[in-house]
Amino acid sequence: MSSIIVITKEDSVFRTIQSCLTHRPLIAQAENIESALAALQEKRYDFVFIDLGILSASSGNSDYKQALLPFWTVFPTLEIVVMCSQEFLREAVKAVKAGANTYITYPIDPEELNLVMESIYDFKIMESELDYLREQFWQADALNLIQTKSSVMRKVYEKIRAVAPTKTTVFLIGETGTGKGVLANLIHQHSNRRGKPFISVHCGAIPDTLLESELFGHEKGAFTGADRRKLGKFEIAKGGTIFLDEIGTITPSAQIKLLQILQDQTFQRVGGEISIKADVRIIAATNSDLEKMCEEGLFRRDLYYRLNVFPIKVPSLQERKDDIPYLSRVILNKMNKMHLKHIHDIHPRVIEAFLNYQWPGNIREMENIIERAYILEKTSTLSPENFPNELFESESLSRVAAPDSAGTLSEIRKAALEDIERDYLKNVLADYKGRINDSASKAGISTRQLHKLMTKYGLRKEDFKI
Amino acid sequence: MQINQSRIGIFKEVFPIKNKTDLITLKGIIIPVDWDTKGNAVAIAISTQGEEEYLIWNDTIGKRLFNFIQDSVKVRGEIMDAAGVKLIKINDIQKCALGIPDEINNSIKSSNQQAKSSKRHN
Repeated sequence: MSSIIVITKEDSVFRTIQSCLTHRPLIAQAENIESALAALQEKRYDFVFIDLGILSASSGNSDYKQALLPFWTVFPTLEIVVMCSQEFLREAVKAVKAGANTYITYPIDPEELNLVMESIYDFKIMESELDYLREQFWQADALNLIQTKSSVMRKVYEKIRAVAPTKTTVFLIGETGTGKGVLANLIHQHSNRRGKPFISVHCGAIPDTLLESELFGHEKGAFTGADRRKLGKFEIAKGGTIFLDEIGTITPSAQIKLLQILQDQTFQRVGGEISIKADVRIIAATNSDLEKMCEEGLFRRDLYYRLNVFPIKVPSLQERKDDIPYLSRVILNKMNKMHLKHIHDIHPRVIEAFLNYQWPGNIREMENIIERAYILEKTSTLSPENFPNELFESESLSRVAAPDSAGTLSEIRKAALEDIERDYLKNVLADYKGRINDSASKAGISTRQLHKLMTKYGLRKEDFKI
Repeated sequence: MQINQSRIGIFKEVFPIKNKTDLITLKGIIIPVDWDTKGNAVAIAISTQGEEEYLIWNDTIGKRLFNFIQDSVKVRGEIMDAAGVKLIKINDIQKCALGIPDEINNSIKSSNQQAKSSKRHN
């Protein structure tokens, strides 16, 4: 039996819905979004019927996506139906475009209401069947990884599904820290070669003079110090997959050898004459613009074409912001498995700061920041105090740059003053390397006042000691 | 098997077709295997889920597949052997949803229709 929460201030609307539904579901009323969210925290509901007026009031500038987000944060599968009068149909359509399932108009028509419920229900069943069938492809341990709310990332996973079972060379293009290595492993794990080695080579980390020998091996006496034959990564990866990260950094002579492998599937060890068959699937990755490098003569064009057979552009974390709350929880769960602590939640202000932050280091940076906070945390929730101050800078800057017109003037003024006060204190503490006496004296306040303000703004003297 | 570029040249010049087989169906992705100086694909192949590669015969139907590079397709055609290179002369092309098996492709279509009707007001 499905359960419904109706968010409306009109008791008559609630009673009409209650009487219209033929299946007699569990039904509750909430007068505003906050009380609905509180009810959802306590009990799971399948449907939310929300009055458009209440939704608009919380959205501000008709940003319905932002207004609907808290519901999906509590229950990602929640079905949301917007209720409105005929004259606000345009706004209701905007809410549907932002992710609500559908809308119904006042006065509530029993037939329409039941039809809407049935069609959403049927669609849910079909969607879960499809999800089940789709997930047959993914192995159990990959299911956590492939969850995404980003349409760009969904396309990446669809491409991986398509290319994984083939032997086609895959070229992963994306900024550092976006998870190219993880995706390469995912391709390998879902290929016909999954039982064979997956060899990852960070080409940029190997000195030029050693790169060829590392990749292709060498014969005894090939160069000074080559006192025995050594197998290269291409031989070690026999039957499996080799992942060549930072491919743009390889030397011209290594480029020629790699081209030979891609064209003829053969190579020679350094100092060797025998052609060796390379039974290996190649996945390459780069964060540089290889096409530009080709134009500048730094990378072989023919090799670029052969690597670029099946390119996959991996989005930066900025381009998949919708995934940030989920990814942060995945990282937190990973930490819980690795350590003996039990931290189960992340403070909402941290999530908000995550959403405002630029993430130049992408997922890797997020992992590092969460790990640091995890180690420092003493409670069961990751709190803002244990995260770097820079994380909250973009948050305060965005608040100053675009004040929310939903608040009163005095609220906006107070928030702006707090931002300035916080930034000022940070600068003073940084100047005096976290020394309380000196900082208080510079600010013209007592040390007691400074301590109080530091607690208020989540500033810790330790963070300024360099 | 990966396609050797020099062998494509032989194929283009002399067409030494040895064996013809009955029509078979292949599923995989279309990939470029040869390029002109500007980087445009001039020959394509189908890379199958069984790690085989078949060069696509460059006739009228085969040329249509240039529009499907990096797409998942199901093709039906005759397999031939040209100087050791496996190639396929295509009779029929069907585009698949990326990486999704046939049995659920149809379900996806009907679910999309269902989604449209669910958002009927939109």
